[in-house]
Amino acid sequence: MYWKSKVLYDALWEQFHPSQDAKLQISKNEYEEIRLVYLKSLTDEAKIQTLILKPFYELVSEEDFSRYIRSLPNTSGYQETDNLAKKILEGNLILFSGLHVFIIDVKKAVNNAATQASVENVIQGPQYGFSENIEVNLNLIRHRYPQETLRIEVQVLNTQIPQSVYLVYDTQFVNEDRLQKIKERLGKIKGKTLQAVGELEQKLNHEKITLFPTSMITERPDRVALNLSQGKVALMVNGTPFLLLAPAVFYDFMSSMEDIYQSWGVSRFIILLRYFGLFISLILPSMYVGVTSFNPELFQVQLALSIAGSRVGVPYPSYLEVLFMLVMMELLTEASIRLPKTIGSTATTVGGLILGQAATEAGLVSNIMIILVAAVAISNFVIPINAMGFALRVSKYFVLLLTTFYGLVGMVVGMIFLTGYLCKLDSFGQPYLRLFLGDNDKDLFNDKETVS
Amino acid sequence: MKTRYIYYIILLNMLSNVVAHVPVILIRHRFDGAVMAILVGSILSTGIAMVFFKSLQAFPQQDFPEILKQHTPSWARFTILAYFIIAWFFAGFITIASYSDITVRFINPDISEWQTDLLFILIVIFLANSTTKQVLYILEIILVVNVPLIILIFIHGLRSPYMDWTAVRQILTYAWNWPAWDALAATTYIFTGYANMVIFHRVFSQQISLRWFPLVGVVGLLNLATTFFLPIGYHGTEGVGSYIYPWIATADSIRMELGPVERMVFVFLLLYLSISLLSTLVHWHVGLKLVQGILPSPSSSKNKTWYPLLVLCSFGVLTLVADLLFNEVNLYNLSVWWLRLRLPSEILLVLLLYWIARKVKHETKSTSSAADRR
Amino acid sequence: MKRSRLLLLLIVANLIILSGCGFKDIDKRFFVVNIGIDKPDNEKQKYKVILKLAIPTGEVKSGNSEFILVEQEARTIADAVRNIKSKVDKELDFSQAKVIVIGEKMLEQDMLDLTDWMIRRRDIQKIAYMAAGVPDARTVMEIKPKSERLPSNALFLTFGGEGSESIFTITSFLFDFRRRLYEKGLDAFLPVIEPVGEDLFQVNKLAILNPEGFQGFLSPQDTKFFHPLVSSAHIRRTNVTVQQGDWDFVIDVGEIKGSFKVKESEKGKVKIMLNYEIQGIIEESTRNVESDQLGEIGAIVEKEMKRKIRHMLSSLQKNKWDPAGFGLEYMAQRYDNQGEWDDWRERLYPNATFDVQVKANILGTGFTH
Repeated sequence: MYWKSKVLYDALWEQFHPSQDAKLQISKNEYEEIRLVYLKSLTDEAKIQTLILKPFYELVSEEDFSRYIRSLPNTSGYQETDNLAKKILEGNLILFSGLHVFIIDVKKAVNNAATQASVENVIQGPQYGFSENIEVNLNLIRHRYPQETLRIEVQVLNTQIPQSVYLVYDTQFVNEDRLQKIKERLGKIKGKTLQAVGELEQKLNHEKITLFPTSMITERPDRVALNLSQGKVALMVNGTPFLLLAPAVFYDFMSSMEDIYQSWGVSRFIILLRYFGLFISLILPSMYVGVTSFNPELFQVQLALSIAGSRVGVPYPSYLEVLFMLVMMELLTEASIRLPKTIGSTATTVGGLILGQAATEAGLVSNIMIILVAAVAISNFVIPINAMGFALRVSKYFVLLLTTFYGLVGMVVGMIFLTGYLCKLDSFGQPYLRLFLGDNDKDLFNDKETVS
Repeated sequence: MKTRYIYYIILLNMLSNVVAHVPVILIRHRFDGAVMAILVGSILSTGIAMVFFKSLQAFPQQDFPEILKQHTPSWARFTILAYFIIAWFFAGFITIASYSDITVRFINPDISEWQTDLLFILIVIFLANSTTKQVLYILEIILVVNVPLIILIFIHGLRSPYMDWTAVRQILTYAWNWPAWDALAATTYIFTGYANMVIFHRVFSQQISLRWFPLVGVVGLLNLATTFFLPIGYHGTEGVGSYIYPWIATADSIRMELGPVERMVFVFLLLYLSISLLSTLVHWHVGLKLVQGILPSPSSSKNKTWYPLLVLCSFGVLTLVADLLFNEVNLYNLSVWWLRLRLPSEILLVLLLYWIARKVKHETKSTSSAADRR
Repeated sequence: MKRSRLLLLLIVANLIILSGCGFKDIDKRFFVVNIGIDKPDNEKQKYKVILKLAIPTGEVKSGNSEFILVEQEARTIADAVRNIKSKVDKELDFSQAKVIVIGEKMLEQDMLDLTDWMIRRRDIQKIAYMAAGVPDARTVMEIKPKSERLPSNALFLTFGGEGSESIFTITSFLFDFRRRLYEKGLDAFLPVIEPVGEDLFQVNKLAILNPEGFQGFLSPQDTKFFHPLVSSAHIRRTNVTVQQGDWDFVIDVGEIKGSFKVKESEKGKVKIMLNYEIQGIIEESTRNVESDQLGEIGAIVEKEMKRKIRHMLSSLQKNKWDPAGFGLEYMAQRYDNQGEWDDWRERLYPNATFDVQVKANILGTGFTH
């Protein structure tokens, strides 16, 4: 057998010795010599020192050392099927000791601290999100979801540089059809690499042009635990503090974890507020165009005259005015996201206050327009999941377009179109939007959705 | 699917007829038999609908084309379905054409009618080209958003001091007149929503309980009474006859002093825009599925996706052309004729279904008793 | 979903290629807040149409109401409006025309003809307030109360019931006016606006119109007691002044309600039973009033009111006016519809007897005895 391990070692030496961080080390005590192969950058050298090197020099016989190594919890013996190079790349150390080859896990965990949740904030509730390390994340989930039916599966993608995706679900709740569909779609993913779950979400969707998210990215372990108990599948990729939950329907994007932490009345009020915000942000710009340019009779004469008064001197038609201010607002929002936190607030002040004030003074836009744009922006931020917020930001331009040409009729038709579009969408076979979900879900679990 | 979706379909049909020709026909006959027609029509329609649902119970999760396929010769199936396709297309056509008339007249006088038509047709095609379940989901959402507001307008109108109940009582003194056929046809049309079940029944697997069904009749009667009496209360027994769209004139007479919008007519028109589009959507969806019942979809997957679109587009093109050719008066006459023809056809449909259901029951009984004997 | 994308494309294409008309910004429109119709100076013409156009100002808070009056004579109202359009720089928008004033001299005209244009146009509100202008519409429209921040706002507040609530003002909407013109047994009326001094106006009497045309005015005193009989009455505050010898006192009525029934006791004899109910406190009195006198005062008030109501009813009956709808009420009871209208007008109403019941509930004497 000795020649075999020699061959293995030589092969590894061939592969790794040009690498700066590869370590191919030979240690000798008075009885024997051992060879260690590992990547310095992936492994914890202190661990190697205490786990391997120290006992090697302290233990008196070859027999003893070999027995000791075998008893380590993170050691496995070499099997024919193992790909040693891959093991090294995953942070293992290969130990050649006499006839034996051991694979010892001495991974150095980086980024394994759970980070403060920063995207989905809640006031009262768990404050920490996931970490960038998959082990830690699995650990978090297991802790929050102590249930023996929780299943964790790994599926390796067919990308050029392979990446494994972890599927987590609860077998007693998960809907088999949906799970099958997710696995099938995962199998079809192609491409070079896969870095984040956002990318995964895009690739899971078989439509080319999408607007509304059909699976949800989250950073909150509590949300994941809740969704697992609702029969959803969590998809994880190493190296991002986010998870992907699928399938996800419209309501999931309109709910914050806080809804279940607050008292009934408060949470209902907040949910109502959210839908109100959604409505406002979608139709307010269109309403302005529709009312000022097509049907001024909608409002009382007092308001009509004051809008007319504030528009005196504005040279552009109302839709350009709205469009101009909306685009300005979008730019402002984008700018404040990309800027470092410390400068962000300056940008909003300069942009929001000064630009708004100056634009009305200069007679470019009317006063009421400024109020309107601010209301649209604020109500858009009420939507708890960003992905949905973005989608609605885009949709309002569609409604605006229809209104510009057809007035209030266009606005109503636009809203019906959006509703219809959402109803026609599905997330891995689950209808995306419909009312009274609680009722309908039972309906869904029992019978298969037939396409008819 | 839950049974509540059935009631949505029926409710939709009740509401959608408030703006179009039904109130005009009823009001035209206000002194000679409209009141009696409302009463007789409500009872008659509820009865017919109950027979219809009772018969459908024999065919769980089947739609009408499938039932015909199993129990009738193919020539009969072909003729009946072809007739139905025309009927359902017409129902959608009349709704869309009259509403685009209304839109041009009352909301957007500067936009030409065929552009409005085109917008409506495109949106209906987009929505109708869904699965039957999706159509029901869309229906539910839009109804749940709109109906409370519509009921609010109704109630506000009824409670207003300008609603003259004496005029209503004066019309009631004309109740003892034999119902006019036109008025009866118009009344029963309010209840025709159930006929859409010829297609929608395929997604309902459970038995539909009829115990509470007479309530639908009561709701329909209330709706009809509101449709008929509210304009009379607002415009008087004589004056109401002078309006072409009595309901829009009525909505324009309802004033909400402290609401965000004082003139309710715009809110009303916009709410009814969605109701009318939904109604067309349901009718054309049924029409589409009936076409698919005659000519099954081609097998190749590429053509399969295009096929329903092709059918709906031909509906759309027909509507566009027809609407350009007809003016308001033609449209009114056409819909009156259509209503007259509709009532007997509907009764025939129900009788046919009843006959097949009895035949099926008889057959299963005889085969089971034959099995017993053996 | 490929198909839906195509449809979306079609919708967008439809928009871009076809549209662009119908778009008219609010600042390119002239809001007509007030329509006046007067007798033309030129004999050949039929109408003189006066439009009050509001000029929007940026600062509503501080600014005062600015408006233009434009007038035009023509054979038809539509022609007049067409001509006015050529005189102004912006599109006329009638959607906020909330007050329609008809000059006194025009009242003689056929009102159905006159309102025909308004009812046919989609943009004129059916809930516009109708009024008669004395001496003519133009004078009334020129009045500019100092408190007014928006043109014609004073009139809107008067008739809308949001501002001052006066028992003398009975609102008649366009649809209501039309309905009364058509209806048998329910006469139309118009509140009358009269200028008082430079910049005030008063509305305290009614012009009565029946199918034959303009009939005359109902005096302020009669108007006051007629108001509660109108089914659409929403103003309930009024007062009753009683003069008894040297004792004058006034009741501040918080709530006045009136209702009526028509009874055909025997063939050809009709009794109209009216019921009034008031609730109020003493507002002013030339004599001390003790609390135990309240019942007595109530009786005096009832008697006084009965007298005034009878006066109002007799002036209605004498002229065969029926703005309260006694006739309609009668016909709504009669199932034999043949000839009911002729019966009522020719025989029943002129000979009808009235039975007036008043219930006065005096709640207190105010702050002092």
